[in-house]
Amino acid sequence: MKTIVITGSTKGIGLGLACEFLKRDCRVVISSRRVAAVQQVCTDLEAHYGEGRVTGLSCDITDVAQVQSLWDHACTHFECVDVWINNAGISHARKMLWELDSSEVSQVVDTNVTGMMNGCQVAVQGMRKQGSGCVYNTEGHGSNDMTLAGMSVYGTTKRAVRYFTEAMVKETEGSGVRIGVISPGMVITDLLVSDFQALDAEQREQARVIFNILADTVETVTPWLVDKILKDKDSGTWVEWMNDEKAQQRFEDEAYLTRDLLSEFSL
Amino acid sequence: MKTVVITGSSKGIGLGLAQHFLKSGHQVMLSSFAKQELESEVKKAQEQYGADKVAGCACDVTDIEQVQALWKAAVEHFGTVDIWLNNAGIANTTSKLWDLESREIPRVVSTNLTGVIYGTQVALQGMLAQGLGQVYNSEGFGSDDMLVNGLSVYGATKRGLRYFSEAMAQEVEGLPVQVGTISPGIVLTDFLVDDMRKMDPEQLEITKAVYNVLADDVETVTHFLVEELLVNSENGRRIMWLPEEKANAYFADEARLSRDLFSQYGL
Repeated sequence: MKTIVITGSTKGIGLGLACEFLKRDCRVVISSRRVAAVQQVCTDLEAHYGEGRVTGLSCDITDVAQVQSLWDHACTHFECVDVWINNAGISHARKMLWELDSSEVSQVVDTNVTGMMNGCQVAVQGMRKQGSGCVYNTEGHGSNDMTLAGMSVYGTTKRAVRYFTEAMVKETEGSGVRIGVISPGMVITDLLVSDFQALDAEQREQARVIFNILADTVETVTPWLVDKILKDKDSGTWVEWMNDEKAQQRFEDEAYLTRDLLSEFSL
Repeated sequence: MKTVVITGSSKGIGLGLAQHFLKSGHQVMLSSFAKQELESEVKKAQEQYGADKVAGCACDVTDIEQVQALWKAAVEHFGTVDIWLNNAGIANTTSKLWDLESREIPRVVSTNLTGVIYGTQVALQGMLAQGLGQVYNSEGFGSDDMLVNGLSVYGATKRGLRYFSEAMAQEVEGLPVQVGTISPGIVLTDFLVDDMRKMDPEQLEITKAVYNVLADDVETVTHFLVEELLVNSENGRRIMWLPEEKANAYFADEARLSRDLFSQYGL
């Protein structure tokens, strides 16, 4: 039975991953900054998937001491950690840099870059002692060098994630620790919906077309990701839901061109 | 006559850039978080080039208010700012992630990423109000996706910064301001030598072999960069001292292959 730690797992993709791991008999450690949310999610998951396979701890990943506590909590509860997923991430309002609130800049960089690095450091240190384990970082818009006006800071952090992960794959060669990437593509989560709501009417219509073709629900994406993660034996694996080829096919597929994913949010 | 603001300009490449701008008759606002070092360099530069040509303002680039104060000081002193160089940056100790002191991670990320983003934000806000101006960010190891063990954090920030600069060039397209990068290559600074002193013997030998071929002194590199900066009007331009072709040519150059730059430092 594998033990999986997931940062940012009280909602969205993180929670979806947690559910899919539990369905596959894994043990899961839930985490987010919000204490009440962690408790609530743990209670709900235990009620649904049975006792003894879920625990949780609140953790602000920008504070390395809290990240270490999360590792220690996982090991105390479940003896070892097989997979650590740096999933926690935030975005900023879609605005040109000169119109963006400066406090959003530091929050996004601290969470998406420093927090991800803190997670890697603590997990790799622990896994080197264990002699095994795998760390996954989460990519997003910008990782593949695409740029989009208004998304410069978020894109920068996700481009840094890709470089850093490649550097970690190289650094951990021969150490017994594996490093990989999860690239979930565009997933209908609170994060995406709130981004959409912040757009003006014209931007919304453009975004709506793209969302309907490329986006998927948490329930569609996370089972696929989890199956890949559990089968992965290598280091340097890119677990990528939406690659260029697949995206291209969707733009030519009538079924995707006529979807309406946002109606359930009354958008 | 142009006015240039340079962050991290009390020593190294930043100071070298400042001196070349001053020699060419331009005005410079020096800046550094190291107050005493800054005061001393400002005094020296004022004696040499005149008190009306150069001023200084201490600034910790990770604090948005201090970055805003730097812009304000430059405008109060010189009227407009033509060029803003986000040069301030720090490296982590060359060390694999699991051996790196945890506190180095947030320091490097906040200086090299958040600090550069703040600088760009403040400069663009001011320049859009002025109706003119250019912002340049400093590339470094990692910007071209090269990997070396021990520099994962620094490399990730510099790769992120290259993406950021490309994203900003896109955001300002059609506006009366430009964003670009400067890439100084490998420059013989105290910073470079200090880092080499911390290396183990094997690492030092490899590094010396590479640097003897590729490194140049501050004077040579900053002269080139300033000449290019003064004539560039192209948005999105990367001003590179050591592009790949030039590095390859250096490795084929007998004179470069037989240099010894480091015995003078006892290395």
